[in-house]
Amino acid sequence: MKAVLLVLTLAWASVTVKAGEPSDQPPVTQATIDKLLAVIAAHEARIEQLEKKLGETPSVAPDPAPPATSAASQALSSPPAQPQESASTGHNMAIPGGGPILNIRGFFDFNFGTGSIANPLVFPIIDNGCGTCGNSVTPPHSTFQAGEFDLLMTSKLSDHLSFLAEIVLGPDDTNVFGPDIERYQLTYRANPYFSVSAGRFHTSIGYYNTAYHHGNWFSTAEGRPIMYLFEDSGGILPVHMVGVSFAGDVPHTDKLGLHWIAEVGNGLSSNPFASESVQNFYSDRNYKATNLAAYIKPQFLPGLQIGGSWYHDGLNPTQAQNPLPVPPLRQNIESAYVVFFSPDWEFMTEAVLLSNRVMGASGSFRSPMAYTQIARGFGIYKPYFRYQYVRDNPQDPVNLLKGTYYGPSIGMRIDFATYAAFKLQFNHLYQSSQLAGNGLDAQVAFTF
Amino acid sequence: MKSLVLIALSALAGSCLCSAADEPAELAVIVNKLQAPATADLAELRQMILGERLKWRNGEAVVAVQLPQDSPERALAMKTLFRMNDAALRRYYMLAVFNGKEVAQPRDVPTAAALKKFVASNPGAVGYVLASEVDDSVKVLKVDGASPGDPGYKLR
Repeated sequence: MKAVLLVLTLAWASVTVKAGEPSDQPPVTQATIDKLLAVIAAHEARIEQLEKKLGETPSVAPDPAPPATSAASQALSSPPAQPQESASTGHNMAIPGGGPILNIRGFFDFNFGTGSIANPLVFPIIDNGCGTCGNSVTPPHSTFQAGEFDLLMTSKLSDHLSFLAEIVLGPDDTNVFGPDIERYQLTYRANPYFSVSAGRFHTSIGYYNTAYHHGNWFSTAEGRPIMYLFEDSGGILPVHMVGVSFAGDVPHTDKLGLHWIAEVGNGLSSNPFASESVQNFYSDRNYKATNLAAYIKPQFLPGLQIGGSWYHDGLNPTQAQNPLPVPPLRQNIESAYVVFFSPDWEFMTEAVLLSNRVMGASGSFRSPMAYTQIARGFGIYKPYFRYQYVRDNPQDPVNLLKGTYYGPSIGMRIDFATYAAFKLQFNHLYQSSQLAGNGLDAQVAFTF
Repeated sequence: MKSLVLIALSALAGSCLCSAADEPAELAVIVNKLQAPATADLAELRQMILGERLKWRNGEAVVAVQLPQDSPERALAMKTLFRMNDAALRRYYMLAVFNGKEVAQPRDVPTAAALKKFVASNPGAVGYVLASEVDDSVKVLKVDGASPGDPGYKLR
């Protein structure tokens, strides 16, 4: 109001200065000014009235003078004011009569690959030593490939209790679509420092395995690093676990952002050739796998995360459902990683050492593996580069991968729509005792 | 009569443009007058607005609110507070849900007046408006020890 008065005064002054000059405009009287002020006041009142109406939107305006805590909880439980929130949780549906709301989000990717290792990061790498001719399972040819049809479901059962499930339908080299319940976990979150989940979850080994497990749209590159191949695709790490997981922040470490994770579960089948190596129902031993992990997210550098884990299990192949003549083993897996994400840059580097030690024997079969990936965003374009190395000890009695795999991948991601991306990636992979292979893969990945 | 109104409006518009050009826009982080702490680190504040940090130091639940995506306040916040673009922010929240993490995404409110009213009524609420929009219904949070207008204030 004061500003308006000031402006009017200035305007009046300018008019007064000009008053000495000849003009055909009628003289401005005090009555005119009063009338103008009244009009402005009426407009201000109208604006205030409209703002008040907007402010009374149910989702943002609580009841007058509500009790302190109830107001906060009302705000938390009130429906979202904008669709943005539901965009992150997914589509949801509620059944009449009440009950928890089920949120659903889908992911899918569709690929076109050409070359002997067009898409080695998704499917088994079995080359049979024929090098550039490809392999007997996925010979060199051009093919359109369906990726993973991934349905993520979440539901909040109470303030502390939530459920998450992920169902993936995807084909493999048999061309048959198969459904997999990749995750199901009921989580009780007591407070930021303690939560417990029970079910099937992603083992907290490294970063990629929990961050980009499925849902290819999330990951910059078009496929997983070889070291994180799924168990049923020849992968040697136990990337899934059935059991319980405890996690939380460490109190009084806000500046460091220290988090802890402890997991206990069935571990993988003692027979790696089992039709399903994740022990969803039947465990072939009483020995349980344990995994301890921790990571920091320092406040001084948002986007930085540094972590590590230690996994331990005991395998007994002679007691597997399909026994193998291999003595009992103790398995240790250590991992360390550094990742950094800024508005433009993305950097990930991870290293894992898997050791299998035959009980009663000296020495271990060690299999080191690592990858580094770097990407830089230029608007919707994000070129990226990944170099990976996996050496699965050929003498290891239970690992499937066998041999050394290393080489670069270079690609470009184009986010051509808010929730869809096109990726083009070239892979060059050296394989021990074989000729190097090449492959080009184009992928459209999206969420719906 | 009409010319006078035009002159007044032109002068008003001119004065607004001048002030906008002379002083860079600043965000004021506002909290409830009675309950919330008076200071916060920028990193701590970022975690609260992002929904990573769910409680204030005094144990009060954080309820973050913000203006809509196309508002100048939001644009300034993306640059100074979130330090990412809208697409990255959407992906961030979706990835958090995907990973089973509990994050409280800020709620959008339509106007600065509504945002201030919400903050004034909710003890754990935190939001941001242009510093010029602040009134005495809310408290302005000092960020890294500085208030809007102070040299070195980071939300401008």
